[in-house]
Amino acid sequence: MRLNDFVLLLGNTSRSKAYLQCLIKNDLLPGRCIVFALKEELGQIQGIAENEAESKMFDRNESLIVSLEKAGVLYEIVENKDINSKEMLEKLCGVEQKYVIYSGYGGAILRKPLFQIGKKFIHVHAGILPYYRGSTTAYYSILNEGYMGATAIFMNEQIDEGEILCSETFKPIPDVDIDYIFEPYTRAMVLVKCLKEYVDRGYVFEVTRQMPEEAETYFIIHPVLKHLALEKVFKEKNA
Amino acid sequence: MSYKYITENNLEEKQNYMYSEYGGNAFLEEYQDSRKAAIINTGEEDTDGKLYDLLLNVPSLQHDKDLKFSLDKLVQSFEVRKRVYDRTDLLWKPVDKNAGGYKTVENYILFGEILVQAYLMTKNLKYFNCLLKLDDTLISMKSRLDANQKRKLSSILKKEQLFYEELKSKEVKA
Repeated sequence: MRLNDFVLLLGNTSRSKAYLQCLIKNDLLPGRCIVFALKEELGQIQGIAENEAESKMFDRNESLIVSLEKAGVLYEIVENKDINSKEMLEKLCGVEQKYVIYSGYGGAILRKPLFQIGKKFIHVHAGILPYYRGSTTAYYSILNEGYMGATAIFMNEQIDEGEILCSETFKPIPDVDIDYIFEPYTRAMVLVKCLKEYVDRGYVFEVTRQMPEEAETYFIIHPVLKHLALEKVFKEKNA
Repeated sequence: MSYKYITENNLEEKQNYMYSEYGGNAFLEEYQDSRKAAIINTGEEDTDGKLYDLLLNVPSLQHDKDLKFSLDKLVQSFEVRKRVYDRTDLLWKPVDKNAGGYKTVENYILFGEILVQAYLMTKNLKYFNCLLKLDDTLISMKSRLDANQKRKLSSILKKEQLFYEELKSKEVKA
């Protein structure tokens, strides 16, 4: 199925590969794709799957371009990694699609001009919102609840505060790397769920406002807490 | 009748407060005046004064939204800058980052005590997370701590270890 109202905006990251491969696998093809990356970096090896469970999720070594060409998705490459650059702004202004599925580089924050071009930016946050805003929330969630989650939102100028489209929780799998495999995969699966719901509802989104009084913002997890979270995941395997 | 319970030195001239006489509203006003006169009005930008206030108010953390907002801004400021500046605005951002003024050991100790209390009250991991980072910083500064500050740091670290053991043994079922 071709979703012509959507443009997929991808940096060259594991998450982008997870998004693209999972969308293709679920026959949810975007109208077009913009890859914003340096061409020489696109074919770089990003790590190999450590086991069968990881390899079933997505292939980190398949370049974005290979996936796009195999699926026959219209794409272009912009050799500029700055989402807030004038070049990217002009590029996005020029596309006819209403919805931009965004998968950029870590730490980049979209600035005001991007929200003034009449597009809706969809972002999948790695955490259940509004309870887990901020960074590395997967580990906090594992320590608190034993699971992690992801939430699709329409972005706004405030970080992680946009209207919620859908969310899902996931039990971490022992032996599957969280940072580079499982977390990107869970976000991709929530994106798939979000687009399936959009189609099932007759090509419309249903949004929910976040309740600010329920919100909590976390910061990069200390290595000791990260170890404790991973120990809990490993313990499940040995139980 | 004046408020007569403050002498030149109460440690030597002990007050036993037994059979105290009734002095009406005048007495209560004098009591309040004695406190007001002793309160130093620290500037809004003086971090140490604000940290002391925060420490004393932490027990109300779960019921006081403004207090939680302020503490969370302090946590955010430290998480971003990894420093506690001597002069900060209402959101704990340094008033003049370039002027230095972030090496006051007592401020880091006070912040540690606040985080210990905040985690005890709420079990919110964001406070434990910040405490671990703060304690890394405090241990790195250990040679600059005086004996009293070292004792305070030891108390904070003992609590940190307790929190660690509790969390490690906590069973979580998805």
